[in-house]
Amino acid sequence: MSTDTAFDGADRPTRTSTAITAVVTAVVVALLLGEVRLLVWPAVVGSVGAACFAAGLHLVALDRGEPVTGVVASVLTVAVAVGLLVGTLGTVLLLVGAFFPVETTAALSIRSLQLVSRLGIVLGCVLAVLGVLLGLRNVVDRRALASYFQLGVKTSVVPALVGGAMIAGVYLTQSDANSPALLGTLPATLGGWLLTPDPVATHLATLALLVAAAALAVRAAVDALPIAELLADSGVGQTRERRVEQTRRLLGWAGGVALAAAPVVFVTELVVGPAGLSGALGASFYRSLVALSTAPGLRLLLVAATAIAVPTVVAVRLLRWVAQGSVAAFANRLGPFVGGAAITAGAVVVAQPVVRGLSGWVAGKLPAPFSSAFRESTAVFVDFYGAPTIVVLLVAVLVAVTATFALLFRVGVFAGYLSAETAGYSLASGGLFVATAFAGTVGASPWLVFGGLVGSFLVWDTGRYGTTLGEEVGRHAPTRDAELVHAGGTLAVGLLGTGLAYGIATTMESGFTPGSPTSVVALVGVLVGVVFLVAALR
Amino acid sequence: MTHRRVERWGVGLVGTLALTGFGVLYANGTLLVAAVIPLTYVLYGAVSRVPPTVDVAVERTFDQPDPRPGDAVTVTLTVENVGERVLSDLRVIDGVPDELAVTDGSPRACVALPPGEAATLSYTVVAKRGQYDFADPVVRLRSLAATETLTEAVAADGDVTLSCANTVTDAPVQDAALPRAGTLPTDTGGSGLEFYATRQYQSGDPMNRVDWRHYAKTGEFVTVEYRQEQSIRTVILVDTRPVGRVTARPGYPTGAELCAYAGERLYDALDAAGIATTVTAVGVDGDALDGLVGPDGLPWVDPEDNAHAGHARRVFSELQDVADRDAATDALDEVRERWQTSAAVPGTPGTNGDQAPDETEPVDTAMTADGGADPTSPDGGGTDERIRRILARLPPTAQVVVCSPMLDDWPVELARALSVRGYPQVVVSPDVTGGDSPGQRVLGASRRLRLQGSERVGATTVSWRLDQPIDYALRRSLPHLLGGR
Repeated sequence: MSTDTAFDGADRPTRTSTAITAVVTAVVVALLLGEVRLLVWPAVVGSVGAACFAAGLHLVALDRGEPVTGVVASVLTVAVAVGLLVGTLGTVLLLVGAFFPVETTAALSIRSLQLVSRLGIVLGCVLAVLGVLLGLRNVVDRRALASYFQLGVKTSVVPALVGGAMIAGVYLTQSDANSPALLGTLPATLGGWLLTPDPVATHLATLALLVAAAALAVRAAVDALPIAELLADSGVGQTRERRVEQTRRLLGWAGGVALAAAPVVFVTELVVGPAGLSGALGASFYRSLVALSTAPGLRLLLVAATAIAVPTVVAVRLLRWVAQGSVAAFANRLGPFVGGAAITAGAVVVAQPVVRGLSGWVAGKLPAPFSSAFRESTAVFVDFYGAPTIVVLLVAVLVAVTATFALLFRVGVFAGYLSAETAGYSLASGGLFVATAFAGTVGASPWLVFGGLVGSFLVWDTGRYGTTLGEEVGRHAPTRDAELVHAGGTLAVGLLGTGLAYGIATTMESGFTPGSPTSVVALVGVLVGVVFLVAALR
Repeated sequence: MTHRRVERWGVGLVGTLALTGFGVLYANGTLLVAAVIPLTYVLYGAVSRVPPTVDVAVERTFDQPDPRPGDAVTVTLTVENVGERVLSDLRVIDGVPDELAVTDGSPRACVALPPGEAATLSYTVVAKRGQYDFADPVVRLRSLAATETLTEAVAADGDVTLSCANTVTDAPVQDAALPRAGTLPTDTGGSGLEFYATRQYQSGDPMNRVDWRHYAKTGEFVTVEYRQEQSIRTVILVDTRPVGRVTARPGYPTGAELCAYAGERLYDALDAAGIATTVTAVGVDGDALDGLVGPDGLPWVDPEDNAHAGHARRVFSELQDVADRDAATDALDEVRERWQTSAAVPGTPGTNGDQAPDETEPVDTAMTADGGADPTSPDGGGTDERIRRILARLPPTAQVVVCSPMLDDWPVELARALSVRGYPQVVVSPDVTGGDSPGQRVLGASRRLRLQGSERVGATTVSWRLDQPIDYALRRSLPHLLGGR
């Protein structure tokens, strides 16, 4: 065992470090959100969305091959998108509702900065929660994110298709006074063209097309079904039968000839015209041709043959595909689609109340002139398309948003800024840092700012330490004491820094004349911190 | 000794810049002052250092100096800080050999040690037959800020080698005595000591075998037949095929290994009782046992051999090594061989001539468990090639001891073939299917069914659970081998 590779291993981060980071993050986030009480609810929803993202990523990374995990992960993608959008857009809307309209244009820039600060606090807190949850089990890596992106894409397929079908249905069935519904007239026109053409002229071209379609479809069905195997096998596995082969060849020829003849006949009929044809071929022969080509019975037979053969071929191919693969693998691949179907069904069920509630809330938050315009346009929209269509399409968009977020996350995170092992805790500490800095700008107390900064560095350091310890030593060994020593050292240094900062602040305020009790306490704190540090380093 | 430096606290500078920028942008004094905090962290990272050398003493002890195969051995590692500085982060990994599996505890630890203090870590390994050397433990020191690491392999005092052997037997002493006749009383009449039956006198019978009392009573000549004393050879057949190289829990000896161990103990017992014992095995490659493997691929140690005890030891030691090997590659080789031999079988009658050769599906015949169809054998195609080779080699009056874990149907077929030809047999089988999972319970049930199947064709079966010492099983099987039914 060489010293270079002795400590390589793979295990999750150790328990004590994970607990320390989780507790510190929770405390700092709670205190920071206390500064912006207006935005607590969007921040909570955003955190729930972050938790769903971490859970979905963990389920995808497990890769245990059970279909249930796929279904659950795909259902969670909607929650992720809801959390994302509410956390960002919801916060912006709330702030806009609170701060705007402004009285003077000069106050506009100040209000915008204040809005940005509060938005930064909320986003930082949500990012911190996301980072801690991702770092808990160290699931962030390129492969897991790519799998999650594919899951999102597959999940969005079903709602998108259903939504598209619903919109097409709306357009096809819409009818006003002038023109009847398209969907209603469609079967009649199609049936007339295929089955009962006008017995004035010959319709040999369509007949040829029908013959070609029927011949080729029946030939495909004969290929797919085990007719030759059933007829020919005398017990030792023969698969060739003379009559079946002849039938196949005959059908192929018939289909090919009819298909080749159809454009020629079509052009001839078009150019020459009924009168010319009648004169060229003779009146009685022409009449018999007309009768043949417009006979409904023949056409019905051909259409029926095609209609039976095509689904048979599709069914046999599907059965072969299912039988050759394993049921478990098939069920796994089906997981996200089942999740998408479940989401679509849920969306249809809750469509009406969701649309009403959402439009009402948004209209309430917008300023007065925008609000009424928004209400009118949404009413028209909902009436035309119907609430279920809108909600199904909305769900498809949400899932697409989640997939895009996963893609951007992968690109942004792994473009070189973060490594796979420490991505979670780096995000967490970065989020805490940003939130604390913005909290300082909205007038939080200095102790909160200092404490938040120390907390962010503590989370970063303890998280990385726990991850490395889990890799080198593993979770089964007792490592609590060493971790507490390390965390204690980091905390002590943070306290020392806080003391220093406070000392500098008071000294600057009082102009280098120490004497107030608080500054004396600060200096004592600095000395104590220095003593701790020296003891730890020795 | 490897010294590495990790730039961890560089983010502190980024934080300082960010806070200064925010403070200036928002004209906020608190943020400007708070920029000191990241600076202290940067200073902390720069100042924190590891000791220049690794002053650590390590000692290792095993709780059992001489374990038997399958025993659990607790290894205790004591790490002491013999330097003068506090070691805030000391990580140690013990050099457990790859072949031994750790079943409890962990050979890795992370401790914080003041000078003069010691910490212990202990874990359990399962002993395997052989000698295993533990490598030096690797120690890694870290500074408090985790910015510097120092890695070194420190030699451990105390126990280094774990050696585990079978029970010691007497040294194989060769005597020039001819192999003695066995003492197994048979059920056929002839010359002997014990009365068996009477029959009509035939001219040529020896005078001392005529029953004179009967002649005195009735005037007829009657000859007494005694139980014939035949020399009975005992053949020990050890089954180390890949299918038996499994174990219920990781780290414990496999079924094939235990069969080899049982075979060796039986051989010692029978040899000490003076019975001529032949040793053979299935499932072992011929390459390692040059000179002992015949052209039929079976290793064979005859008691007429001058050095038969040494050869037997060699065979058993090679069997235990083979049984330890990974079963996967050997099993694949076996399947490949079977496909190659059955692909040479001509196409079955009734196929059309225009069918391609790969449509005759040799897979079907190969996939039947060791029962390749061959219409030329006298059994009408029901005997495996390996069984036929064994039957060809067996002496005509032999009792067979089969040591097999009974995890597939081949030993049952062997028992049937032996009983058809009249060989008395004993089956000794270690139970490696202990366990609570449903799969293991199913395996245990099918193994019991196979043992019952062997009993039905006339074999005496001895099943030995692993929590009992093998002596119980030996005591149950030896009376059959030494004294008769």
